[in-house]
Amino acid sequence: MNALELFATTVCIIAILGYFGAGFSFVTKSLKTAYFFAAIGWLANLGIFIKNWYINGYPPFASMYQVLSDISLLFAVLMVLIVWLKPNEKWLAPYFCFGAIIPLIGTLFMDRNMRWSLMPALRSPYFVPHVFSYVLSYALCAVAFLLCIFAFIKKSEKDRYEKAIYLILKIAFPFMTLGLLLGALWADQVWGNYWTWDIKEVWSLITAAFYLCYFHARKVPKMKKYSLVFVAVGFAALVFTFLCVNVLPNAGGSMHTYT
Amino acid sequence: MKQLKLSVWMMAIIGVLLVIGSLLVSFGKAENVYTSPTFLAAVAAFTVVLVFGIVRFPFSFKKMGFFICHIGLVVIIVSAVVSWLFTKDTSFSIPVNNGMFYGEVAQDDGSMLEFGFDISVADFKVEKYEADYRLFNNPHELTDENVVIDLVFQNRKSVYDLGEYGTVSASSLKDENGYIDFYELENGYTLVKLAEVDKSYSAALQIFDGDIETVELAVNKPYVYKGWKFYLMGYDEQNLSYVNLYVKKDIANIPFAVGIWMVIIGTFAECLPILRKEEKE
Repeated sequence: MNALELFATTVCIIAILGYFGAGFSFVTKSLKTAYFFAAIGWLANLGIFIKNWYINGYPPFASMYQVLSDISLLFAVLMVLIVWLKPNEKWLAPYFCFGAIIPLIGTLFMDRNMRWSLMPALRSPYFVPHVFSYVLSYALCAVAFLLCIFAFIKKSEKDRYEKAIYLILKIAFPFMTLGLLLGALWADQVWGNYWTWDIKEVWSLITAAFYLCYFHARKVPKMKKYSLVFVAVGFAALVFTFLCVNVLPNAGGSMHTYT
Repeated sequence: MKQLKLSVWMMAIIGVLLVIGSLLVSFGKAENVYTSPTFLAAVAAFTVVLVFGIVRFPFSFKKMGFFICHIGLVVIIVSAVVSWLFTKDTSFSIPVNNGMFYGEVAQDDGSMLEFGFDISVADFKVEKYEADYRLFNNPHELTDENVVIDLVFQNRKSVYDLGEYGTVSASSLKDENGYIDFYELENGYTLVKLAEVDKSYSAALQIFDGDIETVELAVNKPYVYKGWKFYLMGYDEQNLSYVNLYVKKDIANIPFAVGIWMVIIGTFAECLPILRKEEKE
């Protein structure tokens, strides 16, 4: 392991421990300690972001390793935003902290490709907003899924969880739409078609369709009790889109094999 | 309420059809599933439900986001159908700087596509990233077992850092033709150049329509002339003797983009008011 990889691993472990400490402290109601640990975790996470940007010379939104690190970085920002705007939802903070740990643990076990040359098609003004919108929405959808699990477990608090899931997904969904449709505009600029039925595009649409089912089902009294099923199915589709699509047979022909 | 219930069912059905379709295509069990009668019928039924939903929804300025995003979705679907039915397009290769102008190109079915003007490519250039290297401990046997450092890249100070094996300046790795393929260190270890990666490439497209106009065509930078949109898709990597272009004439290209922006704006307008600041209870 060279010095750079050692640095990346160390900083990543510090970030994981920081977020874990923050999540645990939020649960035990030690708020000052929680914010302290969250700050340490976030600064370490920011270190990974800066390192990736510095080494590559472009905003680090290209490889899977870079994007997973970015997702974690956004959890704390979103937590602060939601707690500031909705002080009654402070109880959500631990979910964001524990949610931030999962992608970072993933980065520890993957090829970190310290340097990743951006191919010509990716050198576009759409690159950062397209990926950033998705990263932001994925982070929120992950928290919504965690809450969904707890809503199924803690039946007595289901209403509180449902309200929080709705709040989070209402923030996430416009960014998911933005990511999807900026991708279409970008595809027209670079490949000449807004939509090519590429496997990654199709699964992004599937994900959006299931989340749309959730929003609409929530408004139908007879369907409302099943609406959380769409949150779970939507998140499963999201994970498949993000991590699994490229391992399907014939995925080698995908325009998105570099992601 | 029935309308809403139907829309949930329609979206769920389309979602499931897309899952099945994508898996069938991935496993090579089917082609063209997205233009199959079943899928098109589902999309048509969804569009009808969507239009009825818009028409029957009581108008209010507060619900403007709802109208913008749902009408935008209809615009996208209609544009996609128009585009699918009426677009003229083809991919072709064209020589670089051979002095010839071309006014028509062959399509996949053998018929000719006429532009109504002539085109030529006067120049082509490609820019590469700084080369990356791999360090081997045995220059005579470049196998995975002999790799010492998998990826050695140039840092911001134009130096290749080999850790405990020292550093090599970028200038040491260059000759008049660019980066050299092999570089032997004092200890016998050898740096081997990895495949160079394209950073960008562009072509000078000439359009002859009375006068000659020269424009830059690059990846992510198509050029539109009289409704024809030209894209630079690739090039002859061996000799740089030709470039691959894609050209299309699509009357629904702009309406499709308008539909996209309507959906984006409408979705944000519909969803983000939930972020209004609340007071602590």
